[in-house]
Amino acid sequence: MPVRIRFSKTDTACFISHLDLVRCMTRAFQRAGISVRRSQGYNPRPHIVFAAPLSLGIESTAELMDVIVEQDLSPAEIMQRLNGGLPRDIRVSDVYEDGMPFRQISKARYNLKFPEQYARLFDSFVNADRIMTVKKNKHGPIQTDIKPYVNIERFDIGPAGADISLILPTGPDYNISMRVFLGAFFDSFENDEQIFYACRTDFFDKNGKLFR
Amino acid sequence: MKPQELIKRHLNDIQKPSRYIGGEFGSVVKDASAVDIRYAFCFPDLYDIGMSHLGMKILYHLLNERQDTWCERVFAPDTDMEALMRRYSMPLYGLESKDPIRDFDFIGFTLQYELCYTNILNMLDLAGVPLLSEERDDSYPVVMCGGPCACNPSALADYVDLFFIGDGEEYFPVLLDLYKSCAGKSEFLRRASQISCMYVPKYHDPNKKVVRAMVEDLDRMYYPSQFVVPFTETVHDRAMIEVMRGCTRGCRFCQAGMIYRPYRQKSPKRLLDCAVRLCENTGYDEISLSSLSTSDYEGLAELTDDLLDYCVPQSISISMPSLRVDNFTKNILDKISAVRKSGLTFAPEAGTQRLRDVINKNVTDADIENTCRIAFEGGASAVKLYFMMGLPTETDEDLAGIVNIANHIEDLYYNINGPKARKLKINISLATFVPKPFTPFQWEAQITVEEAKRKQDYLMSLPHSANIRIHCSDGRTSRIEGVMSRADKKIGKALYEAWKLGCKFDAWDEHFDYDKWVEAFRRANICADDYASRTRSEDEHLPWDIIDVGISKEFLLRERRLAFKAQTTPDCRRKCAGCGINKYCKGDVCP
Repeated sequence: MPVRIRFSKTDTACFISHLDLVRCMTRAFQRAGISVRRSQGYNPRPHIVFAAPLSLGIESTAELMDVIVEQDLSPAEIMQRLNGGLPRDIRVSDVYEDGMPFRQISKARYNLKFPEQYARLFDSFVNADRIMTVKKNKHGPIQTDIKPYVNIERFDIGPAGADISLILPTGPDYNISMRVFLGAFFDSFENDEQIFYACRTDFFDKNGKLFR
Repeated sequence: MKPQELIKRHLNDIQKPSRYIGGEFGSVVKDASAVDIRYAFCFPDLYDIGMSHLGMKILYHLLNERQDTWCERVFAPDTDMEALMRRYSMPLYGLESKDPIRDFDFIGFTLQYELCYTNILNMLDLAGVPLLSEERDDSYPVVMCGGPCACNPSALADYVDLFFIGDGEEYFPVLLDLYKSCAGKSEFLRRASQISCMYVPKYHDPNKKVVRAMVEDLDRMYYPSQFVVPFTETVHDRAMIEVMRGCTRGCRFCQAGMIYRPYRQKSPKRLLDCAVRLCENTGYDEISLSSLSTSDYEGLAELTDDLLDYCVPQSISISMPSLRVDNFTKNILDKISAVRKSGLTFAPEAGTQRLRDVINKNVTDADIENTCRIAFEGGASAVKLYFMMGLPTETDEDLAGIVNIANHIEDLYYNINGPKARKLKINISLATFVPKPFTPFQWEAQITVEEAKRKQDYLMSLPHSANIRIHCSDGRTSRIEGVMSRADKKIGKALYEAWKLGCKFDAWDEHFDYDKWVEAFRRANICADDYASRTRSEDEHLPWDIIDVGISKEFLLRERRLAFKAQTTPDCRRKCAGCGINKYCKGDVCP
């Protein structure tokens, strides 16, 4: 039975790299006693497909992965068992059978928070004519203006600092990771530490429909 | 600021941050206000190394089984993380609670190898605890050490309040109960010094020896059914069961073979039960059958048969880290490669029969050939061989023997598989022999750095094929190890100077700085040759004579004399060698 699993990765779990997450999930299924279809090949491993890798340091309440469960288990039972096999800061919040294809993912929404001293700087950073990021590929560093792709939905400044909701392109067609975006911001002014909170909260398809 | 916040602010500067944040599956979090004892279990090396260590896993869960105790893990932060912690004045913390360990009741280090001693000082300093025992009043935690290197506690005696000698399962609970009944650290240490296996430098009665703790029936001892499962890959990232403690072989260079006596095996039934529960609870896809010499375990066939019935359908592979060449069989090979092929490592230790007789290794060239034949016929195209260099009585002929063995194995491989076979890989790992306390070689001189270099150059100059890769350990590292392992109390000062000069992670090539050590010895007025490369007289008082590990000095002397006559001593299972251990604890084969 193919199932989609939605899970959160919060607090200390934001330091678990994608590779470590794959290993963690593999073991979690084993601990949960959930038999998952394995990859074919020399060293068969449970075949787990993730929607979109999450950068280090970024939390999420919206992660998605697909597996094929080889037992007759209800979604509720899968969720309960899997949560028993997962570390504290990774929690399954939903299991369902009728997920949309991952290739339709096009955007992701993030909640971003900064302390007060960064609020004005962030305001001018996103309102400048261009937002330059540097990506390295085999031909060397490439500068890209990502301004057209960044959509600030909400920007509140209060005594606790800035609370922002923004959307970045995510998925197979065009992808801007939150780390690259944050890197550009922290490169735009003098600082020796990067204080932020970032959490991925939703995925969307091309038409702006909530992806599930 | 919490450690996770600190790391997040400097994420670009920290390698593998998941080493510093805890939260792993299987880690134990308790309510700090609901426990009486907070114990910081420190491994004085990186997380990646420490999390592979079985003893820590056993004691971590043993302590946490107690309602009144919360045991947390602490590792040496890597240099990037240390720099950050020092910059923000963040004291060393327990991974579970993130609370500073200087507020704990105990800071306990496990001593697995001598080259981690500078890390201990560094960790105490990072914890914000004065290094010297005498500078820590009752408001500071008890600093204690255990593990194999504690059998010569001299180098660390100024820094450590209490050394626990021997098996922890039975006496750890005794120690914690005593702590609870005492009014303060001083009273606790004074009373702990009365317990047979505790060495408390401050209250030690020089007329009494500290006797190593030995558990009689390993089968009835606590064994965890859960491990902490790390996120990041560690050196040995797998489930492990300890099949036995001790070894019957009596190799004369081997400290473990002497100080873990007597030979105590667990029953296959208990082991199977432990293994299945561990695999189920951890989700690991590999289980290691751990011991000093797993192919010697009597119940191996029964255990592995039953274990495979469970493992194969689950795609869990079985590995055995320590196999001997004289009892390796096709059957064992089939079992360890039933699910996944793993590497094969054997330790002939020396290149000629004469020298193997000197060290009482009791394996022959025919054994080596036979084992390699089984491996090659079973499809292996790589073997790893461990040897030592600088063994007592060694000549260049013995070194040449190592290359001869490798060349011979290569011929064998192509004879079996034909000239067009897949390329063979023979990895030879050559360690410099370091004489260790409580071995028949404890009186010997270690070879000097120059002699180690000469021997290495000679060995590398011998013709060998490109399929044979020889890796030699750094003779300078071994020299420091040698000084530390047979240290007396004066070495404590050199250790301090070395740490002051910035020595840490001495076991790591990229951090080891020999020149700093030379300077440290100079400042502490220590002649390193006196410790490493001096032959002791048999009647010399040895710093570790304050400890009784269970075997007698007469036995060690007897073995020493046999060694120089190149005479072997039979396996304990064939004939008792009279080591004296059975006075304290009878193992499975003791008369």
